[in-house]
Amino acid sequence: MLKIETEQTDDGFTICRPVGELDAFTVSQFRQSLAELASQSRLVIDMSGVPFVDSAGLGALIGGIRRARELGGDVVVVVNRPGLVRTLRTTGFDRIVAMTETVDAAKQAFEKPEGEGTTTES
Amino acid sequence: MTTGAFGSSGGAASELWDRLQAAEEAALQLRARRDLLLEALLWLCASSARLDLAQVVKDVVGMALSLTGADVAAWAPGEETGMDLPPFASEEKGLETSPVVDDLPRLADVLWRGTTVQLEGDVAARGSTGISLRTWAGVPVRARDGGILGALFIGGHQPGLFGTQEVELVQGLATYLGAKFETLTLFRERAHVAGALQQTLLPPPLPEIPGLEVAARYRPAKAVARVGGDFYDLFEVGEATWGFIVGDVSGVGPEAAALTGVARYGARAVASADHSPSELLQQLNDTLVRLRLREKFCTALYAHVRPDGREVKVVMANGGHPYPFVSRANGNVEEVQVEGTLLGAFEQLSFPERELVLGPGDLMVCYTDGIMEARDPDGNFFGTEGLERALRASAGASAGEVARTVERAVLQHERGGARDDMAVIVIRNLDLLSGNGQDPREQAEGSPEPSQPYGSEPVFEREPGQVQEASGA
Repeated sequence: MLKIETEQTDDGFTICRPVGELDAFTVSQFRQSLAELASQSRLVIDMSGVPFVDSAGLGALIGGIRRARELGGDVVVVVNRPGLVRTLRTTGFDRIVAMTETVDAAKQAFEKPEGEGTTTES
Repeated sequence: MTTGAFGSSGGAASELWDRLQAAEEAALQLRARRDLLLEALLWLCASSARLDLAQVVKDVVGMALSLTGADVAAWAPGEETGMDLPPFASEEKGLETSPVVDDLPRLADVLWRGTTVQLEGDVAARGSTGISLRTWAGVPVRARDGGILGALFIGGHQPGLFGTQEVELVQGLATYLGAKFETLTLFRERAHVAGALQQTLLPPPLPEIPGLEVAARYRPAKAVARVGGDFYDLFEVGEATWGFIVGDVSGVGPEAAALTGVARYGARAVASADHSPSELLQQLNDTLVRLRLREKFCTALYAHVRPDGREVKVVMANGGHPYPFVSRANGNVEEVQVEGTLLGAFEQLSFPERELVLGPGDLMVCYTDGIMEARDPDGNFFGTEGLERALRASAGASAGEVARTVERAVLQHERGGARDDMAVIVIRNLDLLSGNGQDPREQAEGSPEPSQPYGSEPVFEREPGQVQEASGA
C-alpha cells in the first residue's frame, strides 16, 4: 500500500519519498525509514506521492523531523498535492519546517544562509 | 473353527488370546483417555475465552471431575487473597445439583501450607449422597507471585483412587485457574479504569450564556477501546467572557485519553480573562512538550467569546486545529484562517491571534478532523467542501439545526461506515438587543436547550423533527 523510495543524490542530499496513503496502517514503515535516515545532514522528505496523511502519519513526520534535528541535520518537506498542503498548513507544519513544492526547490532551501533555522517565527 | 483350533491347542494359544484381549482393552482405554483429553482440550479452549470468574471455576471443577474419575471435585477460595474470588463451588458425579460438602477438615492444610495434600482412609467429608469419601487430593491454586488464592480438591468413594497422574492433572488445572484469576482481575480493573477515565473525558453539558445560542454534536469512536481524541469545553473565564476550546489528540487508547484530560483540564486551569488565547496556547504547548510525547500531539483552537451589545466578539488562537467557519445571517459562509502550529511537538511556538465579530444571527462553527476525514464507501473525503455545503444549506438556521445538518451530512456521506470520533460545535449570536420583541428562544426555533448535554449517546439517534414539533407545540 505504501512504498518508500530512498535515494542519496550525488550533490549530497538524502531523499525519502513515501508513495501512497500515510495512515495508522502504513505509518510504521515510514517511521522506520525516517529513523534510519535520521543521521543524514540534509534530508528531503518528498511527500508529493502522498495523497493523504492522518494524525498517525503526522506524528511520524514530527518524530522524523525532531530526530534529524537532534542529530544536527536539517529537513525540508516537499508537498504539492492540495489536500496535503492544506493539512500541513492548518496544522502549522509550514511554521516549523521549510516546505517547498519540488525537490529542486527543496535543495535550494537548504542552501539559503538561514537554511538551518527553518522556523519562521516572528 | 478358528476359535476351536486356538482353544484346543492349549497353553500358548490361550496365553496369546489373553494377551490379545488385554491389548485390545488397553487400546480401548487409551482411546477413551484420548477422547477425554481431546474433550478437555476443547473445554479449556472454550473456557479460556470466558470473562466470568464463577463460570471459569465451574468449568475447571467439572473438568477435574471428568478427567480424574473422581466422585467429587471442589474449589475453595483462600482467605485474604486481596482478590474478589468466586465462593466455594463443587460438583458431584451423576448429580444434577451441586452437592454441599460438609467440611474439609485437615484438607485446609492445602490452603495453610500451600502444598499438595493426599488423604486416604479418613472420612474426611461426605457428599450429598451420604456416602463417605475415602480418598482425597487437594492442590493449591497460586498467583504468579506464589501467593495462595485457594485450592482445588478431588475426592472418591474408593480408597486409592488417585495416583500421580490424577494429582498432576489437578495441578495442571490449578495452574490454569490461578493464571485465569489474575488475568481476569487485571482485565476487570483495566475496563473499570478505562470506563472511569472515559466518563471524565466526555464533553460537558454546555452552559447557558445570555446572548448566545450554543449547540454541539459529538460522536465518540465506535469501540470502547478507542477512548480519547476529540474534546471541547466552554466555561466562564471572567465577567461576560467565556473560554472556548475545541481540540483533538492524536491516536487512541489510554495514552491518548490521558493526554485529552491534560489538554482539556489544563486549558480550564490556566484560562482567565487576563491571559490572552495566545498565552494560553503557549502554556498548554509548554506543558505538553514537557511530557515528552514523542510522536503524539494535540491540536486545539482556543477562543475568548464576549457578547458586547448587539455583537459577539471572538478572539482566538490556533494550535494547528482545523480552521473554524463563519456562517453569516446574510447567507455568506467563510472559513476563518487562524494560523498556528500543533501542540506538544515543538518548543517555543507563538500563536498569532485573530479577532472575529459575529453580528446578529451570525454563527461560528468549530469541528474536529473526524468531520473532514469522514469517507464515503469509495474513499472520498467529506472535506471542508462538504462542510461548506452543509453550512450553506443551513444558512440562517438556529445553532442546533446547523449542528444537526452538518452531522447528518457527514453520516449520509459515510453511509454507515463511521469510524472516527467527531465533534461539531456551533456558537450563534442571538442578538438579544434586537428590540423586535421576539423571545430569542423562539427565534432559535427548532433548537434544543443550549445546556442540553449530548454526552456519549450516539447523537444521530436524535430526531430533529421531534425536537421541532416539541418546541412548536
